Amino acid sequence: MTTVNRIEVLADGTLQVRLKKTAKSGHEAKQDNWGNHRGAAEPGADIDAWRGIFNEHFAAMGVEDVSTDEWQKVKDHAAVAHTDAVIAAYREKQPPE
Amino acid sequence: MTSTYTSNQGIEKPATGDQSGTWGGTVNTNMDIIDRAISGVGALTLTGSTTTLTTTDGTLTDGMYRVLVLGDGGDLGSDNTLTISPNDQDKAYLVYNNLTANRNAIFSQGTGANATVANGATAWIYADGAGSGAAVRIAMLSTEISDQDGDTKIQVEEGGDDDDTIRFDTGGSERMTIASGGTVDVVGDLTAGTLNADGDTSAGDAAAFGYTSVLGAIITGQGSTSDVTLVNDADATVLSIPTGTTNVTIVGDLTVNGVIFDDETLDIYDEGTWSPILRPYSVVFDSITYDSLRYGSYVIIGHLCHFEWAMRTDAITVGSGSGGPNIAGLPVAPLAQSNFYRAFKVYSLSGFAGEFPAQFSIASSNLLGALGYSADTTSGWTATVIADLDTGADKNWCTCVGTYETA
Repeated sequence: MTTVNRIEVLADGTLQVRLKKTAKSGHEAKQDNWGNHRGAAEPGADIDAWRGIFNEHFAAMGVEDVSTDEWQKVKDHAAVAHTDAVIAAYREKQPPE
Repeated sequence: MTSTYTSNQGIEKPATGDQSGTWGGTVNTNMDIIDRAISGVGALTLTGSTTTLTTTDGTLTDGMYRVLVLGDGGDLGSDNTLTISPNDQDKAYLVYNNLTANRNAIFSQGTGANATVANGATAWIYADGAGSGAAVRIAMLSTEISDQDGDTKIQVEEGGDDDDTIRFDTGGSERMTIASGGTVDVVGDLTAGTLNADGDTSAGDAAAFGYTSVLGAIITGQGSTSDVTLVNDADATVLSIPTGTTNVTIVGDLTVNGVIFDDETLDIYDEGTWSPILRPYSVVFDSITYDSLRYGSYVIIGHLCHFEWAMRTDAITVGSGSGGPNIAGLPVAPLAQSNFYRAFKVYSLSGFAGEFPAQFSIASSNLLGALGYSADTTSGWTATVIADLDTGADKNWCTCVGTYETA
């Protein structure tokens, strides 16, 4: 199982997650299927959808999914960090497209 | 008239005018008693758990010896109590307890104190001849040097014959031992001016400080969590070596030649993969299917993130997607810089429907970067648009490499 290895909350509420990948059976020989995998989510991001993005990529790579139970750690942190005020402040500071 | 006898050795004193013509026998017996009392060594073979050491007036008896060597014909099965009789005679014996099976010899005379001569010991003892309450005490013991009440002492043979261990007791408790092999075991704190080890430690040592001429000072330990742990004056761990490893864990900061390495500085290296996402800036595509060439990797050193991404798509359903195409999913957030755009060269290989992106630009701390191009050397940045993407298979193939400062 791919696990949540590190959760970092930046001052602006950005959530950075480092996952520890586990290769699926038959894909162990590929070096990239082991080790770390990172991503970052801005305040207000859909955290459930974020897991889906990872798992969709992992499926293509040959890496085990991040389970919903494991991902709950990230959701719990996001629930605390991504308050309405934090989300509003973050969006206010974003440059235009 | 009848004879009387001396108080302690029972030497006969004939009455005036008695034993005319026969006193020679009495004198000879008395001489033998005196001889025995001065330097006689009596080898007594004890049996059972009790012995009576009797002095009979005017008769050469065991209680008159100066030296008692206690032996047996085999294990007595218990300690042996030797009762000095009668209880009103003063006695002084040099006793050697040579019993087998580590049996003690306990000397008693009345209801007062007894004197225990441990197995293997030679002791000077004396009985006070105080009648029914008489006591026997040890004046000097070959296996022990003790204080007045006997609870503080240095002793040998406590563990039995040829124990080969020196034991130090204070206040009734054993505090230190020196075993036959030279191992010193101390109960309680050990304070020394300087502790100079001169021997090597070994793998089985629980906690040892040693020295070799090659390695110098050596610390060896065995613990369930750590083999060696250094703690500060608050008993908090400063440094540890996890059990069975060659790793070192430093809890606080490390200062090297004036430079401080804290936990953040030491955690300077991280590498792995990330998931590059092709998406419009405002509203995502209804769906997107990536090609197997999709790839994202990073190496983080300190506050620098070096990234690589490659993108190729097999299908895009634009749907309600709106905004310029971006690559999202950066491994870590860039450092926020107002009105700052990090631009990286994009190598677009093939498969675009319109303009080929040539730049990847991350604005401030955005977690995504826009794909764009410069039409010519007199034009500024131009963002690509959704229509530049091709929705077919093996399309939108581009790659990028760059480095940015992390938040």
